[in-house]
Amino acid sequence: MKSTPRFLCFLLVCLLLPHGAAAVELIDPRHAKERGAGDGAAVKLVSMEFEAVGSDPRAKQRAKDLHKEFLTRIQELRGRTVVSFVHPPGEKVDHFRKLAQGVAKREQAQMVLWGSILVDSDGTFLIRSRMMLNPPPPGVRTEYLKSPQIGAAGGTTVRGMIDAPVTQSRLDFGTMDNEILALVQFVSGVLRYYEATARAGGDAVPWLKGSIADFQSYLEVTSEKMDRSALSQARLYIARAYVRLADAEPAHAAEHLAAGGKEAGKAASLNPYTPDAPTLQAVISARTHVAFDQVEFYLARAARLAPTDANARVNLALVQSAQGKYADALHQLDQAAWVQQLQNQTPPPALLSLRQHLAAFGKTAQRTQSD
Amino acid sequence: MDQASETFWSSITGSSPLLNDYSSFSYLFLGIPLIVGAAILVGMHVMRRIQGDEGLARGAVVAASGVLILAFGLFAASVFTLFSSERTRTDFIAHHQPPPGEHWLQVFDFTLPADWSEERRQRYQELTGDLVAAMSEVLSEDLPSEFGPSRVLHIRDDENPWRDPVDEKNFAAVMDELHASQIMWGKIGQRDNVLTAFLGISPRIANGLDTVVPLYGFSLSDNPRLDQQFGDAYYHLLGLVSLGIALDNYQRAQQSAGEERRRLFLLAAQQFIGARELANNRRNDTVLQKTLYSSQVDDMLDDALNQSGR
Repeated sequence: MKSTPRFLCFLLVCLLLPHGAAAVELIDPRHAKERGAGDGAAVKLVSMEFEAVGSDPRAKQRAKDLHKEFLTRIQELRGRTVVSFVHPPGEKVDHFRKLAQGVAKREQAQMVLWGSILVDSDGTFLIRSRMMLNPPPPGVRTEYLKSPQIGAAGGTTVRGMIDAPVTQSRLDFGTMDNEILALVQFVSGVLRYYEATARAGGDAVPWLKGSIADFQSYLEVTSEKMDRSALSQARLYIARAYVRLADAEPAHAAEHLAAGGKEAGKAASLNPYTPDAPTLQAVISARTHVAFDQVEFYLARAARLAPTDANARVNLALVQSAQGKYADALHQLDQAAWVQQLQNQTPPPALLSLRQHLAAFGKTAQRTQSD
Repeated sequence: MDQASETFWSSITGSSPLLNDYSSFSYLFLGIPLIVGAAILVGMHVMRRIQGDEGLARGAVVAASGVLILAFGLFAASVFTLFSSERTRTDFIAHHQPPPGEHWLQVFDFTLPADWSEERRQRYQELTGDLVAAMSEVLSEDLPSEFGPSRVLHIRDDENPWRDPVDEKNFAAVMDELHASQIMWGKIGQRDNVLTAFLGISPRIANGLDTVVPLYGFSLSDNPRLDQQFGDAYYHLLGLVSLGIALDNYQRAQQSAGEERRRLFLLAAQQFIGARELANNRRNDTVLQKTLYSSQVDDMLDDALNQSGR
């Protein structure tokens, strides 16, 4: 099952009780700390020499050349730490993914890249690349304030949040022919995005724009037939960068969010199975004041695509409570607590406390309506 | 070996399939004439003795007894062989059933054209070894951990305890005995040397999906790793094996009760979606459209989500 180590990174709910009752505020103790590489730490990438599949010496030579070429191109990123890893000659590797994880852990690198090369009968070099992000860079999030309509009886104002983390920690690229330029652009885009998330305000702007430019270059040279899933990921990173740009450049927020919304929509079409796309669409919709029904629709879709992700369910529960759908919200919170227990995690007290308050509001709302 | 010797030896070894054909008769069918023949012989002998004759000639009795003993010996040997092959099969099944929670894909040797030389058969064995190794590598490297442990097992013809090679006719019975969810077999075209592989999905878990999925054909002159690790077969393998795991859990959920039922439906739902995401790059592929992206899987996914509480 998909783990949710980032569950409830932030949960801030301020519920103003109807009829002038006392305000209740629940604050997740972790909310002030953003996840991921952050904290100004330098981003580190381990680049492993690709495995030459088969005995063709051309593949071995090409693997060495590509490794050098990749390092040369990626080193152009000023100030980055790139670690080169070459397997000792003659050593048989049973499991490249495990090896890559081990090397990345030892080097304390957030990114690790490896892959394999095969020469086909026409002499074309077929390249398959893999990348792991540990931890993935921070995603985006948004707060909202919503007063649902509960008729004449008044309303309950909910200050909630939609958390849209990057849940994809592994990227298995489709087969590339001969060239690795596209791969360099993708990796560079992720690197710059990581860097941007470690900076605040205007300092992040050049990194975000650089990341968008890298991913745009990737989109230009990669076809949908070749790698639909990676294209979707690239567009998701672009959309996240635009959302962050909207914060960094408030004067251009509307245009950045519009651009981000388009990219997230295209990402959802390219990969209709990734929950990251609808969650991001919900964030952008909430920020552009789209009808809350639409926000709820996106979050319900995300929860459906990630049924074992408690975070997705809490996002949905809060929006449902803001819509006055207390029973649905309670159900989602119960499901969130249940999936956490299945993953041997203890539901945080903030979640349990929120559940109690929602249950109380549900009863109050029912009484108010029947009165 | 000269031509004459080769013809001689091939005529000797060629009789084996003929004997095999006869051995497929039931033991009742073989045993009844033996018993009836013996009864008639003894009856005639006894009747003649009762009637005051000397019975059958001593030579005839000895010769007939010899034939009967030989026939009985052969019959006993056949029965012993039957028990022995049953035991071999039982042992094989015991060693080739996946432990609970593991998913195995058993790849049976493909059926080869009868006129292939030993050299070509040897070459085929090497290619099959490469094919299975490539498949194992794909699953061990790229199947996400949420699908649990999985293995690809190559079952050579000389290990296969079933009388006939696995094909579309007997795969369901073989899977049933092995408690397997998915197996693979194939055949090599007599003329074009193209290998056509089939994936069998156990009727126990298929839930309306086709139980025989024709996969692909590749020339034996190709490197099997090319398609398995760099081509469409990569997505077929990942998508269909992950679907098999999801189907297995969905079926287990249907047979469970209480909290375990809900948990397994949740797991199956996550795996159906995960399998679709894995093969997203080839979601319009014909094979995957009929299986992983079919309306039957849509229905199972909806049901699994509902049963797990939405």
